Amino acid sequence: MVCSPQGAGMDESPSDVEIRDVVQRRWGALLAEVSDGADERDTTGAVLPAKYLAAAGEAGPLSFAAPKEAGGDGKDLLTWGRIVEQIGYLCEDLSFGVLVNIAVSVAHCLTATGRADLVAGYAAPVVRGERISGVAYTEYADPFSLNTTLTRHGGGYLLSGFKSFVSGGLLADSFLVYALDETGDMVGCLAERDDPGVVVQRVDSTCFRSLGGASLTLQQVPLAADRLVVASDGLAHAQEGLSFRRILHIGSPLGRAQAIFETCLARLNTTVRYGQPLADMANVQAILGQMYIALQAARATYYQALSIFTRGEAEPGFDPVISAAKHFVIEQVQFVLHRSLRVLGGYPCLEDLRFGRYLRDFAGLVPLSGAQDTIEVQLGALAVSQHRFRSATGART
Amino acid sequence: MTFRLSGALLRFADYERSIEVSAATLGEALRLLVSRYPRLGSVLYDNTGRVRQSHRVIVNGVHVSDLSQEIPLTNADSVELLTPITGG
Repeated sequence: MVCSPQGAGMDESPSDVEIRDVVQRRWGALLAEVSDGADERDTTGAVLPAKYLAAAGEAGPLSFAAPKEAGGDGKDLLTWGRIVEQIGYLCEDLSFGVLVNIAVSVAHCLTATGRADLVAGYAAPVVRGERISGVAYTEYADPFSLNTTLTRHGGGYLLSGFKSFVSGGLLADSFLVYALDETGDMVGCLAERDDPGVVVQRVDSTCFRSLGGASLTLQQVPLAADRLVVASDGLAHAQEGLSFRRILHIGSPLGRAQAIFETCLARLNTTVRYGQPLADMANVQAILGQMYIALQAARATYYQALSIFTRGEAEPGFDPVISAAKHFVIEQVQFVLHRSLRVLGGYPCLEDLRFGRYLRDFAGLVPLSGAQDTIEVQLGALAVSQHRFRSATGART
Repeated sequence: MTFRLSGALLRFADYERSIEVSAATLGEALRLLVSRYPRLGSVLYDNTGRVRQSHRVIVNGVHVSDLSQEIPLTNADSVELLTPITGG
């Protein structure tokens, strides 16, 4: 079973100007409203209000890339990824982009089951912004040792365990939960927030503080048989969903890094020292050049990965190019942020306090949808395997 | 033939990186591997008896994506099992 729109086809790609115009015209007001409360939510730890996701459903960004069967527009992933980047550029709260991408991902996952009840009861309401669904995969264990279990009980199941972190969990009405069955295989099922035995608890974090991160305790939760969504090899299903979100989640930070770069340009152009704007000094220009290079290289890598996914050429589960793109883009946006701190002097520490949030949120990109170190290990292992093949056969791959 | 194991699978095979098995096909070799290291069973196979898609089975350097067909092996063949997975 696939749970992503890989290979759904590529529309004629719009220009950057068209993308910017569409996002600003259609969703600019919504993104501005979300941005207005970003600082306060970060300070207080308040969760992004669900009304913004409802508005995203009504106004369109949620439906843009969602499957047509669930009421979405089914647009291609390259275009959607560029729109996500623009959303990150305009929206101060990076949690908004993460939550929108999770909604799109869940809609694809559930639609791919081909079950009309799941499309009508879960996927379509998620696309309309009427429901929020979280993905409950992470726990304090590796995938082969999950403590969360789904066991047969009467004509249905009992779900038990603990998920340590669910993005948007405090907002979610339902959860796609991965658990081990009696054979040790991973399966996927749906739990409702108000099911007996489901306990959702806030998880405080240093980053993405408005994301509504929560733990999920499952105490002998009775589930009807139709709540089983992935009957076998849920590990592959979970990994494919992760791969999909891995590529989408880097779009918003990339857009935000561009905004940070432009903040630097504006500030350095108007700050005069020794009789000239700082932006006229060669050492400052060199740093700005480094930031520009990082942004362009990250953008090229991101678009290449989106194109591979859109053309249906991504490998199922862990795709090396998509994973490399996630790793590279995150390193680049962190580089841009760190260079901005270097070149702006006291300004980001004393005057523009958004930079503190950027620092923490960008740090939170390291574990998001596949930790940087884990990606390095997997890519290295694959490279070694390919090298052995080349050495043995003389082939070039 | 020789299995090469790494990463997540190692602990289920007593941390043996290289395991020799005498088998005529890939399917038979995998079954013999599991019979020798039973804990690998639920890790390699899903609950329908198919090899989980998250594993990459690489025969003599070539990734075998369709494991539904029997693949003949000789004693000189090498089968690498990679499991590129990440957390959320």
